[in-house]
Amino acid sequence: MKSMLRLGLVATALIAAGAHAEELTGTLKKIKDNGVIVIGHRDSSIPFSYLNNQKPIGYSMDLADQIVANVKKELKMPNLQVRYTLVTSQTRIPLVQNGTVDFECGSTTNNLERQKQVAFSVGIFEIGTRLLTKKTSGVKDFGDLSGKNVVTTAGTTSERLLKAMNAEKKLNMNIISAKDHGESFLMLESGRAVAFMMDDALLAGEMAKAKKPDDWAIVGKPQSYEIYGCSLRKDDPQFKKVVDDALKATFASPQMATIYKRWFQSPVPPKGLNLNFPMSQELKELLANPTDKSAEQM
Amino acid sequence: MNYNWDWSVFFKSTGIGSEIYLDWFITGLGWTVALSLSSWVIALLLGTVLGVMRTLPGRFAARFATVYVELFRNVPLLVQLFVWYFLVPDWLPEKLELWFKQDLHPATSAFISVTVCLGLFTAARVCEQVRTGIQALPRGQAMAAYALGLRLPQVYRKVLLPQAFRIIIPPLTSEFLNVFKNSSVASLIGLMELLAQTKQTAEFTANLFEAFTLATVIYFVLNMALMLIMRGVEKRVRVPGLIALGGK
Amino acid sequence: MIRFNNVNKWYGREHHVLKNINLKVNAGEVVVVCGPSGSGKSTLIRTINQLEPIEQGEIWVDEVQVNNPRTNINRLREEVGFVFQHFNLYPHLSVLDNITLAPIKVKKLAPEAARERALELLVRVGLEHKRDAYPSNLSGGQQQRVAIARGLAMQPKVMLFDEPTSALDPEMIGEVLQVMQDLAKSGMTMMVVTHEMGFAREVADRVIFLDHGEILEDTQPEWFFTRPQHERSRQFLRQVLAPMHG
Ligand SMILES: Nc1ncnc2c1ncn2[C@@H]1O[C@H](COP(=O)(O)OP(=O)(O)OP(=O)(O)O)[C@@H](O)[C@H]1O
Ligand SMILES: [Mg+2]
Repeated sequence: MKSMLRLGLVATALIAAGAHAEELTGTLKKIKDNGVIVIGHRDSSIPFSYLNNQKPIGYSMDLADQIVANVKKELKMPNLQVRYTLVTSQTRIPLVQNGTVDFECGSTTNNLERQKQVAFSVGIFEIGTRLLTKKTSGVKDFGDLSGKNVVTTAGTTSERLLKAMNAEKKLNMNIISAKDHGESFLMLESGRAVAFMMDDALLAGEMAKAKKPDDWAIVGKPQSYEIYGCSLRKDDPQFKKVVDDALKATFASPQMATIYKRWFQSPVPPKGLNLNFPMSQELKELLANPTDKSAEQM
Repeated sequence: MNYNWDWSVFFKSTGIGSEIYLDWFITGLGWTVALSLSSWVIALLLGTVLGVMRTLPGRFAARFATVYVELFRNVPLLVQLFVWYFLVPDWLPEKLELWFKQDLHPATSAFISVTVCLGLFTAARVCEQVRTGIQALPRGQAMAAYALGLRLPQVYRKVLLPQAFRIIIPPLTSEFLNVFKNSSVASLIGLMELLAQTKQTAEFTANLFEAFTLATVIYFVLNMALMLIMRGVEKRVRVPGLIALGGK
Repeated sequence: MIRFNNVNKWYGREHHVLKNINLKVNAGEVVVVCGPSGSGKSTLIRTINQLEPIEQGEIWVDEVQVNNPRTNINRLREEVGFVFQHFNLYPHLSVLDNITLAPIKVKKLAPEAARERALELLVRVGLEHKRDAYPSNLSGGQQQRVAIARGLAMQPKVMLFDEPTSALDPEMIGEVLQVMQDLAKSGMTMMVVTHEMGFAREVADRVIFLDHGEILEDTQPEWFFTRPQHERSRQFLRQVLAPMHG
């Protein structure tokens, strides 16, 4: 009789649990089973995701914290362990795909090619591709670049746009593709190139690092807009919903303005530089109408 | 792992003119080969001169070559490239500096810097091989040549170097292959050689594995071809009784 | 033709290898140098063409002072042939090229002329059929005969030999000694370091006995073999001649 009663209790509990939430699948199940969530971060994408005293910080990492909070709440695991794994621009996609990291937040552009490999959260940032140049260089817009040396970072959309523009408009630019943003800026600073084409937010970061930030200016009409998103495994709607819900809630709250201000309009570690980069109209619109589409799809 | 393979990616348009991604690989291969061969010529010539210097009786020449080897072999290649590309031009006279930085096509100035850098770096390694080769020869070889009245340059050209080179073909081959691998440092200063083009294709298409697989295949075929060529050279110049030193 | 005046040589500070050497070799003479291992025979013979420098004294070859810094030592070496214990043929060159290299490069002989002269010399040492072979395909005796031909191709005034047969198997010693004997008959001035006492007895005009860097005997072969002056030469002779009696 006693055992009958116990059986009944267990059965009721099971039914109750089933009724409360649909069965866990994919990433959420993995997180629950392992008791740990793994976040992919970058080492030097200032101010989005970078290392400071061995710890990943930045605008995108603050948003990642919001995602983690929501996962904890959803799984009812307030003590869920959080682990960080460094990814590079080459490893980020495969590491998400093979489950090494559960999601990645950095400065990853959402585009159609990448959508074939991974899913994206709703956009977390929007940039325009523009030019960084010396104030005295006389360069005001892309049209002024013909016949000049222009640097951009290898593998970026800017590189592709710049090369396409050069071919189409026969501008005769000499395009230098540097290894990373730091190297691109070095090319600019050492006089090998008159302008550096890149995402405006990143240009602001490089400018802040310059010996004399006031000598430099970001100019030109944006040639394209790009939306950054966190990347996660494809075909995992359960997890994607938790991620997107967390972001949307944050965007709608006053907290968002604080996060933005903290990384783009105040001194940031490690050197206490201030990017002085007010929120663009495009980003305001994006935050007001969250979407996981890429800029080219809009 | 839920990766989407797509081998047709190499034939897709890059969005720049009428280029397809395969064109990038071909351009990259071209740069890699051009860089490596020109660096190798510098390395072989300079390395031989230095290797000979290390075996000369005179103190000064040997000392100079030793310092050279220590310097160029122990400073990391990347640091050397940085020096050649960013610092050395600043030491040139102003006119030359501006010409190098702004009038020359960026790919040309990068090519010059990498070739010089890689050539001088590899020369230090070739020097050591040449020295080892010369020192591996019996002392009687040089002595017999001197006894016949041959002058020092003739002794090296006709007697010592032809033998030394034959016995160091295997280690030289591996240095030669290293030049091809090391040429990828060029991507750091914006010269789009094979590895840089591969990374770029991977970035643009998000078809990372296809891009790196193709690069692996190209490097492999290149390596095999070079190895066969060197094998052929070795066979052609082989003489009975001279035994090659082991590879690395 | 060759004169040593009070020659002294040291290896480093301590090792006095040649002590007060006085010696004369006349044109056409064949002089055998013998002595125990380490006595300085190789050193002595190498000083003649400056393969080893000397610290004191004078060495003359004809009217040329070898150890004068102003002497063109390469010129001198063209006139003095040298044959080594270990042949030292160039393994990457054919027999013919081994012989013609120095005449072409140093004497600036036309390749055709050098080749002709080399072939004549190969006939003389009995190896014309090996002209296209590489050294490693020759026996030790054949290699040493080529080395002699290589020395002769420079048409030297003097030929120096440093133990030319001691690296050879016994059955090959004869062929090399035969070539040297023919050379002696042709009137060549020769200085030969060797332990072949038969050669010394039959071919040499004089025998020099060296011990601890000193010349102890300098005399005709009969005298050397029958009435050696020093206890150490007697001891040396007992040792080198012993196997022949045994
Ligand atoms: N380059 C050198 N540096 C220092 N010592 C040397 C050198 N060459 C020879 N010696 C030493 O000088 C001495 C004489 O050497 P040398 O070769 O002239 O003797 P040798 O009479 O020819 O002996 P062997 O019969 O063994 O050939 C030996 O003790 C030898 O060890
Ligand atoms: Mg000796």
